[in-house]
Amino acid sequence: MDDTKSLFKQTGLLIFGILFLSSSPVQSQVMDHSSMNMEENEMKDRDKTDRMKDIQNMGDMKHTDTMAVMKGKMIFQMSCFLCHGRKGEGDGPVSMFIGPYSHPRPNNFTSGIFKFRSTESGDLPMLTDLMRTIREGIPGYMPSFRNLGEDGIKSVAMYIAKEFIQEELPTTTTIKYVKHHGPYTYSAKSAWRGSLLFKIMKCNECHGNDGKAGRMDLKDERSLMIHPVDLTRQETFGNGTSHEDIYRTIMTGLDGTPMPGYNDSFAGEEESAWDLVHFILSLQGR
Amino acid sequence: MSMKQSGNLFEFYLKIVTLFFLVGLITLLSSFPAEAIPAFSRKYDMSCTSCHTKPPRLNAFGEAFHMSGYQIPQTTEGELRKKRQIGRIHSEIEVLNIFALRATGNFAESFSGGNPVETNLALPREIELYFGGTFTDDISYFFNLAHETKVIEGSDPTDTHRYGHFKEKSEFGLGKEFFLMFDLNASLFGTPSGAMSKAMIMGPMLMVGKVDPSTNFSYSTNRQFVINAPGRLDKDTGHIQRFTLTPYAFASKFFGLTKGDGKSLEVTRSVLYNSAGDFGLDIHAMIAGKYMIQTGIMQGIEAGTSDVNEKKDPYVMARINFGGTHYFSGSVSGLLNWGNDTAMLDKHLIDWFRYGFAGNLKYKLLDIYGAIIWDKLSGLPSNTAATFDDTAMGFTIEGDLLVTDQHLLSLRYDHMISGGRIRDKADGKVLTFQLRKYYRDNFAIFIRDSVNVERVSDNPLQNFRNLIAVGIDIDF
Repeated sequence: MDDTKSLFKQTGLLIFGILFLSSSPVQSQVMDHSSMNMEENEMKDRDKTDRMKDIQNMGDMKHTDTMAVMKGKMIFQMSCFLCHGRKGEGDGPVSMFIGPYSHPRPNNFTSGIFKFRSTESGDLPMLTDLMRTIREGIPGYMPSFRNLGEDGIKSVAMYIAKEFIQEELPTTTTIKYVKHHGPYTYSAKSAWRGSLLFKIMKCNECHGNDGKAGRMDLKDERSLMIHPVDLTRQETFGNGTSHEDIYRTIMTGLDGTPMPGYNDSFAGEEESAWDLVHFILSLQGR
Repeated sequence: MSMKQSGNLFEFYLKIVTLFFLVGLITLLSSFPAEAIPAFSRKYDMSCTSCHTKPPRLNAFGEAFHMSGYQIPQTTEGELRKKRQIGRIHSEIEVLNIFALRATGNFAESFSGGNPVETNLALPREIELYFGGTFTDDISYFFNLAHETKVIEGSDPTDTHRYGHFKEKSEFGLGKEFFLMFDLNASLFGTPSGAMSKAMIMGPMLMVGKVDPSTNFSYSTNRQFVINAPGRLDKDTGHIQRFTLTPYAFASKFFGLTKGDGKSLEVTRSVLYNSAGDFGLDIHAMIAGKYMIQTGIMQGIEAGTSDVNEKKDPYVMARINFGGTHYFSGSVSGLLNWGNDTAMLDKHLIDWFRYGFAGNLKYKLLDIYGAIIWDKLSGLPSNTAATFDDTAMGFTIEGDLLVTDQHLLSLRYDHMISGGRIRDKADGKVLTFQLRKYYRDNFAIFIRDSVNVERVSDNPLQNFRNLIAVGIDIDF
C-alpha cells in the first residue's frame, strides 16, 4: 500500500510540475491572446495611421464597423459563447442544460432561423431585432444585456450578423405596423372583437379557449417538445410583453416553433390585429 | 413509563408527523410542472439551469457568473431596473432578489453491516439562508446563516490534546461563507471587469472574509449532489463509531491529528483549501475566459477569527478551461497548498503540504468531475517516526447524467489511502449511487445507496456496509 501511495505521490508531483511549467497563466495568456492581440495591435496601428484618414472620411462607416465587430467578438467570446457556442451554432457548453429535453435551446445563428423578428416569417431579422433581443433578454432564459450600452449591444449584433449569419440583414420590413393610438387603443369592444378573432383564427386550438394552453405537446424545429404559451401569464412571453411586442409576435410568428405569422391573414386589415392584442391583454387583466 | 421513554415516544411521534408533512409537501409540489423558482435567478429573471446543471452544481455560465462577482459576464450590475440607486450603492428593492433558502438532508436513512446497525428518521439536517448580490459595479457580497444538526466535531480539549474524543452538536450562525468580493479590474485597467476590460481579464477579484476558494476548483467542495452522510458517536464515551461520509479527496485523511486548538480532527473532514469555507483572503482572475490563476491565504484549519498560531496557510491554484462548441466544455486545475503550523500531533504544531488536481468534463447532459489530492505532513515529533504515517491520498470521482428533464443519476467513487497513527488508520473505498427526482428545478427528492467496498470493521472509516437514504434538497 505504501508503494502505491508513493507511486501516486510521485506521479502527482510530476504531473503538477508539468502543468505549472507548460501552462502557466502568463504563458497561456500570450498563447491564447495571440490572435486577439494581433487584432488589438492592428486596431492600435490603424488608430495611429488612419486617424486622419478617418476624420477625412467621416461618411465611410466601414472602419467603424470593423471596430464594432471586433468589440462584439470580444463580448461574444467572453460571455455569449457559453450558451450559443464559439461558432454561434447554439451548442455552447451550457446550451443543453437550459433546455435538457425540451424547448428552448440557445439559437443556432447559422441556421438562418430566428424566432424574434419584425420581418416576415422565414426572413432574416433586422439588426435592430437582434439588438432588441440582446437588450431585453428572454424572460426565464436569457439575461438582459442592456448594461452593455447601445454601442456594445450593436457591436454584438453586428458580430453575429457578420460572423455567423453571413448574409446582408434586411433594413426594412414589409409588415405593416399600425400605431397603437386613436381608434386602435384598448376598449372592451375591441377586446370582444379579439375574442371572436381568437376562435376564427383558431388560436384556441393551441392556446385553449381560456388562453391557458394546457399541456399540449408540440415540437419545435429541433424536434424538442414545446408547449403553447399560457396567454394569461405575461412572464412567459419570450418576445416581450408590451402592446407592440404582442402585435409583432402575432404578425411575424415565432420561426422555429409551431407559432405561425398571421401577417397574411391580416393583410389589408392590420389594425384588426390590435383587437387580438387587446383580447390577450384582457386575459391578463391588463 | 420513565421520562426517558416518554421523551423517546414524543420524538418518535414528532418524526412520524414530520414524515407525513414532507410526504404531503412532495405530493403537493408533484402536481406542479417542473419549472424553476430559483434563488439568485429571481433578480435576473433566468431559470436555475442557466447557471446550474442542477442546483447546487454550477455549469460554465454559473462559474462565470460567480467569477464576475454575481453579475452576468460582460455586464456591470446586470439588470438594474429592480434596483434603487443611493449614490454609488445599488440597493435591491425586492428582498427576494438577494435572499434564498436551502434545506437539505436525509429524512430516512439506514446504515447496515457495521456496529451498530442504525436506522434514523430525521428532519433535513441543514437549513441555510443565503444573502448575496452587488453593492456597486465592483463590490459584491455573500453570506449565509446556517442551521446544521448532528455535526460531529472534536470535543473541548479538557484532557489536553488527546485525540479521539468528539461531540455531536447543532450549530446556528454565520455559515460556511460570508465575504465581500472586490473587482480590482477598475483599479488596474480603468474599467470594471464587466465593462469590457481591454485586457480581457475578468478580475482580479479579491475576496475577504470566510471564503470557499474551492468554488473555483474544477471540483468544488461545497456543491455536492451526494450530500454528506452523518457520522455516529458513542455519546457516553465520546468515541467516534463512524466518520461522516464526505468526498474523500478533500478530507483530512490523517488518524490522530488535532486542530490548532487541540480539538480532534475528523479524518473525513474537508480541510485547508478544500474546506467548504474558512477565514482568509482570496485573489483570482480569469484571463481570456480560459485561464484562471488563484492565490490566497487562509487562517488555518477552522481557526475561526482567533488565530491560534498567527501563521497563515497560503495556496495557489491554476485552472485551464477548454471547449465551447459541440455542447462540450471542461477544465483541469492544479493546487498547491501549504498548511503552516496548522495542525497538531501530541501538542506539536506541524506543517501540512497539500497538492493535487481536479478535472471536469461536460458533454451534453453528462457531467464528470474528479479530484485527487495528496497530503504530506512535516515537522512531526521525532518519536512518532515509527508509529505515524505522514502521507495520505484521497481520490473522488463523480459522474452525473440528466436522463430526463426530471431525473438525475449520479455515481460517485471515493478512495482514501489514509495516513496518521499506524495502529488506528484504515483505508476507505465507497461507491455511491443516487437518483434524484426533480419536481421543480429547485426541489428534488433523492434516494441513494453508498456501499463500503472495503472490508467492514470497527474502524470508523469502515464501520458500515451499506447506507441507504431518502432525502430532499429544496432551494427557494
